[in-house]
Amino acid sequence: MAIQKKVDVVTVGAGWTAAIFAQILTEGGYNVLSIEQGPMRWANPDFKHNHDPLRYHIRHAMMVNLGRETWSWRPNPKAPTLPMRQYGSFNPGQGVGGAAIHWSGMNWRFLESDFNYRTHYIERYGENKLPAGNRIQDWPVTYKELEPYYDRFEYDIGVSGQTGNLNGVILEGGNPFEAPRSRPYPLPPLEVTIPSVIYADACRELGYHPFPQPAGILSQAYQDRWGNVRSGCLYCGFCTRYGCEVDAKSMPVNTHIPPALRTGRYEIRAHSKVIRVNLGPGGRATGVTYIDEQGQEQEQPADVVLLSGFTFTNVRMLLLSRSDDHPNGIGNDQGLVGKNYTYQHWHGVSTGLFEGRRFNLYMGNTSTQNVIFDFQADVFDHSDLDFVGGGMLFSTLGERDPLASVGSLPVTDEGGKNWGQGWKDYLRQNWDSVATIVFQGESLPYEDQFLDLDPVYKAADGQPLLRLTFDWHQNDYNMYRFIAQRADEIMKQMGPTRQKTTKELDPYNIHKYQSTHPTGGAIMGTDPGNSVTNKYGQVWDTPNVFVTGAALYPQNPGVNPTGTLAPLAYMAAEAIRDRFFRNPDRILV
Amino acid sequence: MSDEKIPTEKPQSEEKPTGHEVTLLLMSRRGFLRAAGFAVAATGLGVVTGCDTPPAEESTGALPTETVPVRAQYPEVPYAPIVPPPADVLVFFSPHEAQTVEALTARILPGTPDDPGAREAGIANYIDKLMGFNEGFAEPTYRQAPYAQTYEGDTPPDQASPSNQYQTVWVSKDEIDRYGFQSLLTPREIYRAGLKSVDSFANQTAGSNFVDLSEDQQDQILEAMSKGEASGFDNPSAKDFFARLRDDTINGMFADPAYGGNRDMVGWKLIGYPGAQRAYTPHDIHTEGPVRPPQSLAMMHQFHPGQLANSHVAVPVSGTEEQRPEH
Ligand SMILES: Cc1cc2nc3c(=O)[nH]c(=O)nc-3n(C[C@H](O)[C@H](O)[C@H](O)COP(=O)(O)OP(=O)(O)OC[C@H]3O[C@@H](n4cnc5c(N)ncnc54)[C@H](O)[C@@H]3O)c2cc1C
Repeated sequence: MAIQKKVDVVTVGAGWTAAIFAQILTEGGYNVLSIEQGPMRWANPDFKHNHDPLRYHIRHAMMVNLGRETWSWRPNPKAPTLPMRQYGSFNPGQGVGGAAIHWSGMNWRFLESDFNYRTHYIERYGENKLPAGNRIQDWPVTYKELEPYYDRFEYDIGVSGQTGNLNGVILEGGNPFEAPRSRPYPLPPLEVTIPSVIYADACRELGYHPFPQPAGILSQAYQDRWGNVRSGCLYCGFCTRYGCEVDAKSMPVNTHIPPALRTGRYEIRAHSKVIRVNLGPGGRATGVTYIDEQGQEQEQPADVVLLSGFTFTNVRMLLLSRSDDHPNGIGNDQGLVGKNYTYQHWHGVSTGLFEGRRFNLYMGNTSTQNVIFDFQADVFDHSDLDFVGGGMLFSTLGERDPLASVGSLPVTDEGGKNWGQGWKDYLRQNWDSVATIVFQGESLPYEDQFLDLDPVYKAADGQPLLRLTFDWHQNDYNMYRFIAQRADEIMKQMGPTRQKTTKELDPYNIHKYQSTHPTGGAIMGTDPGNSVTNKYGQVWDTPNVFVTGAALYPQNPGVNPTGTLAPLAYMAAEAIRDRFFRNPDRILV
Repeated sequence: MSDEKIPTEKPQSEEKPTGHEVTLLLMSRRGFLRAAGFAVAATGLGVVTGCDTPPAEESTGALPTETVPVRAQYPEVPYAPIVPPPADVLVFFSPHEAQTVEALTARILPGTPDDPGAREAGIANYIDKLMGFNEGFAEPTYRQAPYAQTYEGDTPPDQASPSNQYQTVWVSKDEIDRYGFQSLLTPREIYRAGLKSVDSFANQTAGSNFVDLSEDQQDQILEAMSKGEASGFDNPSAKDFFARLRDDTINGMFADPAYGGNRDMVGWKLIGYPGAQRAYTPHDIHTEGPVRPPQSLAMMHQFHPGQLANSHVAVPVSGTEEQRPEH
């Protein structure tokens, strides 16, 4: 094992949160090293010829190599555990830029009540409203505190959208339920697909409030404050699970990484995999150990270790890094690492066949749709409902490629034959005549839902896989049933010739892709008794280790996570830059 | 972020290729190029170490220790070949197996020369070449034991019983689907065993091998398989093997023609999908029906003609213009 030259800050991976820290800290004069398990890559040349759904969508070319490391799962603590051998439920990324290269760009702010969830529900409905066995808690940060960072992130990456609430004034055409923003979106919204227009009309007829999906994809050419010049979206239809060949999709490699590199104080070491955080006297972190490109172990000393390798890696590293001071892992002195693991609902609820129409849904991307928030969070009254929470309903995503869609046809409740001449004729006539309404909804934390180290299965580094114990609970089934009825009504209003609605939620399975929004496991809170870190992601019991990303979320709201984990990273990186090094053993307040 | 790249020809193997290396070697003979890192120093940017090399060609299947170059141990997803692999060179199937796959898939997506289906699209060729790479695992797969075995009823078999001499995780038959792909068999083994079971079931119920039956008889066999009612299938089950055939038929029919199926883009023409396009206008998005004739990867315009575009993706650097359809 060789010992590398010490740096100020070492980050696990070079994904989006690591890139944000790198930009802010190098600007402040610190040197930052990102140790990234995957390859280096840029729009040019790496994404210039990737319009190959077999390689990128079906075979998961950009995802973490499961041959090397996967995650195991069981539905509950009594059930058997098996590893996820091939991709299913989620698609974490590897390579510079992380999953934020192949993300979909749906860019959200959370609602004000997402931040004080427990207090909000108890005040409005009383203590008994929250489901049994829950671990719901308020965030240690408010929407108001985060608003300036939301604003900066959205202007830094160029978010496209229709403003709905500008400083408390509700504006026509936007999301009337959004929290107040201090400036409008920097860019107008993206185009939406034909069924999305039909959807918006149907929603308005039913009294709902449709608006276009806010997107981390440029609707027009944009130059950011660092001078990155980027093209507007070409609607090519190869977006989620691909890198963007024209840099229209916001990715770390066309936003934060170039200015960080330009300082000369940022290094990315690709094809290198961190296997543990090293601990020294007094339980402080001294750096990390990683396996380099040649398969050799290397030691990397650093003053600060940033766990920024996505939810699963972050929790696994905390649990694997042990010393006499931390016998159960970093941050785990109170046994809280792995708790509050939550996920997200993402289900195609209702499908409509519009015979005779051809929607060209292979164009566009996964942010070219309309959305309603009328059943999000506590926007609607839950007094007479048998659940808390909600989510967004939207229709209909673009970039619908045949490999991922013909298999689910025909659209029928009777289980029509899905092979043979009849099926072929059906595909010919109807492949591109299908609209869907999708539900993305919140996921709550429970006592029997957590992450820990697998006692049997190991990764290639010889250390245990991270194990997920997770299934839906009664609140989820009740919420889904209610939402599915609403989706069914909207689809009916859209006027399809045939319609299929999945009325009940199936138990969770790890087989089907749902979303790459696993959250929690290293949550932030107000004190070491209720959380692993403070609001900056600083680990209570090891103050020179910081955690980033959605692992910090106490529970997961009903929209995608990145729009909020990025502003959190801004806030934490500034706190480190401006205040941490004066007193590196102190918890920041 | 410099555009400077050093094109290097991947060294050619002197050894005779074994079956499963053929696809990749074919690519390298045609000039499989790679980017040799990123020469960022020239523009005064920070340091970026670690460079890109083509995917490794071999996997051992078992979980190796990390003492050899990491990318040699864990193959990445292969790139599309530059030109479709030849249908008349089988890399995995025997001729009889290939004919059986062709006959099976031709019932899933039937066709005629005027209205092409799986046979005309070359699906058997697609699946044969899929089997040629890494035991048929096109995507990285976690392959460490113990594997699952299913049981019916309420209680799992005694863990210590002699039938559990191999380490096994017992999972209820009703629950196993929730866990996704859990087969101990490689895709190659799945095809080899599945095709054998198809023929023995065909012989048992109709008196000859699958390929020699009438289309109606073949349909009955597929029907029985799809419903899990065909006997004699053990591992893979009839239902699983049918699902596998159907999935691979879909993938071969609708993936880029470079993979050996979807010949002449017949799959895309069938459903009205224009394939690999670079751009659509807002007007296109709001238009119904075709706006563009289909285009494959090989037909795509280069971003920077004359300059290597994505140098580690297998595309011809020139000559794309002539292949583009008139429109
Ligand atoms: C298909 C898909 C679609 C998505 N769509 C959306 C969307 O529409 N909206 C939204 O808000 N979010 C979306 N996301 C989620 C979004 O990508 C993530 O929230 C975001 O990238 C998280 O940033 P991060 O820095 O935490 O992790 P990442 O950006 O994933 O970066 C983590 C990096 O760490 C590296 N790494 C991990 N472990 C190690 C290790 N041990 N050693 C070295 N390196 C390591 C990884 O290789 C990776 O590069 C999507 C994700 C996927 C996969």
